[in-house]
Amino acid sequence: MARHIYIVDDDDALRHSVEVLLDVAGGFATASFASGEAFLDRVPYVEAGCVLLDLNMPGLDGLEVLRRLQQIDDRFETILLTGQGDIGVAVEAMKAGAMDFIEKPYDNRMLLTALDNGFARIEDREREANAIQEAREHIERLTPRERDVLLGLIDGKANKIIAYELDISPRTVEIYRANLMDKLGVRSVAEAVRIAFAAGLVPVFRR
Amino acid sequence: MHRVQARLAVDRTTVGLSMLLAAVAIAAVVEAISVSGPPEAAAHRALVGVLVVAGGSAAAALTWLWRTRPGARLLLARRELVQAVEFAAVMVVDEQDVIRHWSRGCEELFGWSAEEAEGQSPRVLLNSRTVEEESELWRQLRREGRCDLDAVHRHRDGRELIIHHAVKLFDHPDGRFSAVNALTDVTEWRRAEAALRLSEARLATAVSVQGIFIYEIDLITGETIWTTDGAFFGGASNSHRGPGESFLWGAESNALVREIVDDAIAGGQDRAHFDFEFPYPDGSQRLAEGWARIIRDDDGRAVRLLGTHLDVTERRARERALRAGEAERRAILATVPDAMFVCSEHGVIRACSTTACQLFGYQEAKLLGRNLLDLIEDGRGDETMCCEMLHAVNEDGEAVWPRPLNVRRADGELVPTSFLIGDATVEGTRMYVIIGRDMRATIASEERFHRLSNDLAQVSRLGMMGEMAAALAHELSQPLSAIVNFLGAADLMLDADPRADVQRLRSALSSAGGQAARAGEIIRRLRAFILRGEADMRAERLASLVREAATLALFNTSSFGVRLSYDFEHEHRLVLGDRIQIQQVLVNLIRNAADAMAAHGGERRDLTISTTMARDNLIEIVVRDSGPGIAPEMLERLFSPFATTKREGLGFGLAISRRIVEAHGGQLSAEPAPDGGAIFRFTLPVMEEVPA
Repeated sequence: MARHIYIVDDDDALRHSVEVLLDVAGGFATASFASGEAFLDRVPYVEAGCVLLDLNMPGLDGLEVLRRLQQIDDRFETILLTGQGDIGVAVEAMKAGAMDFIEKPYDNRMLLTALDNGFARIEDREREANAIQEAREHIERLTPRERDVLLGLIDGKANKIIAYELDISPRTVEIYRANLMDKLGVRSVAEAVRIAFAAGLVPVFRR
Repeated sequence: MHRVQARLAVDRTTVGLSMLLAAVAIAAVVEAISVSGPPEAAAHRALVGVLVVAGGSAAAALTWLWRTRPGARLLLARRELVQAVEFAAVMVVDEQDVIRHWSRGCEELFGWSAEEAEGQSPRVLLNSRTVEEESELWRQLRREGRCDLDAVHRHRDGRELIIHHAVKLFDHPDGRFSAVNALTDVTEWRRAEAALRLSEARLATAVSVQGIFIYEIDLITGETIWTTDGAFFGGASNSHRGPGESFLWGAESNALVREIVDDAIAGGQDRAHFDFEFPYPDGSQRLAEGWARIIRDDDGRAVRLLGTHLDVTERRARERALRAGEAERRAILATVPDAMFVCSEHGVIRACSTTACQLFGYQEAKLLGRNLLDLIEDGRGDETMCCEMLHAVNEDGEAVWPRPLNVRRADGELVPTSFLIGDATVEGTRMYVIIGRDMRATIASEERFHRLSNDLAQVSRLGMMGEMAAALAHELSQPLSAIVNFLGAADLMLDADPRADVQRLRSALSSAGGQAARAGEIIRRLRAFILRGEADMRAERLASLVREAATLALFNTSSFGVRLSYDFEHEHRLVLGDRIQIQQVLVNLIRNAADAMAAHGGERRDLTISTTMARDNLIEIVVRDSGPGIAPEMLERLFSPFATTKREGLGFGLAISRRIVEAHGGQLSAEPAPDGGAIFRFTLPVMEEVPA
């Protein structure tokens, strides 16, 4: 999987130097934008990835680009680059949702590390999204009765109680329970509960 | 007398006639007696006949006489009447305008005798003027039988007489007409009448112009006897007058007036004076002043009141305004925060404010009448002051003279005061209004302000440096980041494979080199900015250059109280240099000196800038101050960057100054002054010739 990096900086030489560096480092697909506006225009059509965003630009400055990006898309991890590092700006950047904040001039290893962190987060997020998707698909395969029995199990009720509440025999509850464990591909009730939570079948906290 | 004589004359005639008749009767009786004796002949009979006839005649005469006596009496009376009427001025004129009768009264009136007048035309004779035409008069006469007219006639001696004609038409039995004119001399009367009218008109005018109302009241009956017209009350006097009551007491508001008058009467006074208000028809209340004279009879009883009202509404308003104006003036003088003087043309104080008294430490009475110039100490003499005052005032009449002057207080203290002078012409007399402000507080606060603003300038200079540093940081960080990236890429390439793609490696390195050059260019541009580019060498007049720089340097700084003096070796000396750069050096040195003296806090703040010719066509400029001097360890590194004794200083000033001076071919050096303080000297090349 190609790791997409979007370089947003008004300085041509700097953009070029970053492209060269990342090209040599390998494994990255880079795209450069001379302004925040140009990047934001392209956001809907590009893959998820890391954004190297210069803070001090004519037009929209880095912070403003970051804020707008956060509003329209959450697939990106942003690293802010600045020639004038001060704590105030760093705090603003973190509040706005930047993953990292690097003061120029910087050691290129620091930049590469930051990018690695960014992609790790993106990959985690993707894995988690996949797991949730999978859990939902499993839950959707259950019949309404099987789902009722699962809800009872989540509440920690005994088979008899579940049978009484659903007005069916305890034996039938046992059959439903075996079926749903089979459909969810789990061996224990605890695993079944985890999938139910991941799929959002029940809220984590009862109100 | 005339009447008596006329009667006597009539009586004589009657008596004579009676006596004649009596004689005839007696003769006839005697004859008759003699005839009745012896009878005689025919002669006797004839005689008897004659006697009988005579007797008869006498009897007839007596009878006639008897019978005609009443007629004669009547005639007599008529003649008497006519003669009496003759004394009246009566003129009879016939239709042909010819005088037919001219009475003795006319003779007396006009001086013409009847002989002279009768047969003449009255118009010609008397040179008459009438309003109406002659023919018109006759027409009126015929139509109405009478008419009245006034005519102006001329007396024989030339006097003009105004004569009233009462004319009646006299209709003669034979069909002719005459006009009987009864004449009355009304000259005096008419004149008196005219004079009276004139005087009445004058009185009316005076009354109405002055707003005067005159009245007379019968105090016994309480009724108004007489007043001038009601214009005083806006024509409404009648409405004040109730039946059987004086208008004066009619108005409700006049109760007080009546009380005053009654008191005056009771108190035996014969005059009363009072103010009162009365309503005007337009609804306003007007104010009047009244004087009344009480007239008493022989027993001392008040019988009449004669008085005048004078409308004083406007006058009182004016007086009030005047009083208010005066009060305002006093209030202004008492409260104006500055010392204010109103002076005559020669500076004599006519009025002054309370603050002025405080400023000068004198009582107001002691200031009034003194000459303001005597109180001011300027050290330049009164004449200069006078000139300056006049000059200050003459400039377009605008008050432009905020001059600092010292005022000698009564207790001998000298007070720095700023004066402003304005002039005004009041009723042809020129006055000066002089406003003086005690500057002690201002000077103190100014000093504080200067300190503050100097701090502010320092701060803002720091701020500017901060801003510049931020811009510089960004500008420089870009190429440096790029260099780091390119070198990092090269490093990675070599790490991965020692025999890396040489082309790519070289490209990365040359890109890094390019960015390094870019960073160098940024720094060069910055230095050029600080030094303001290429020097623009020209011939400059050193003295004016120094003066300008000193003004710039000492403006709005802690330079307050610095005594600056110049000592130029030649006023017109020309130097070769960049005006701006040399002034930068001078401003730098002067400000350093002023700052050092202010920081030192010493009383003496003397700054001297002098020039002397040095060797090799160089002129030396010396800036000397009375500050704390230069510490020996500071003296060594004085001109290196970041050397500063100022808390907020960056320490570039002297370093740059030395660079500038050296660029001009001169030298900048510093040394401690023998009596404390510091001396900075620098040299500049001079132009060959010195213009005259």
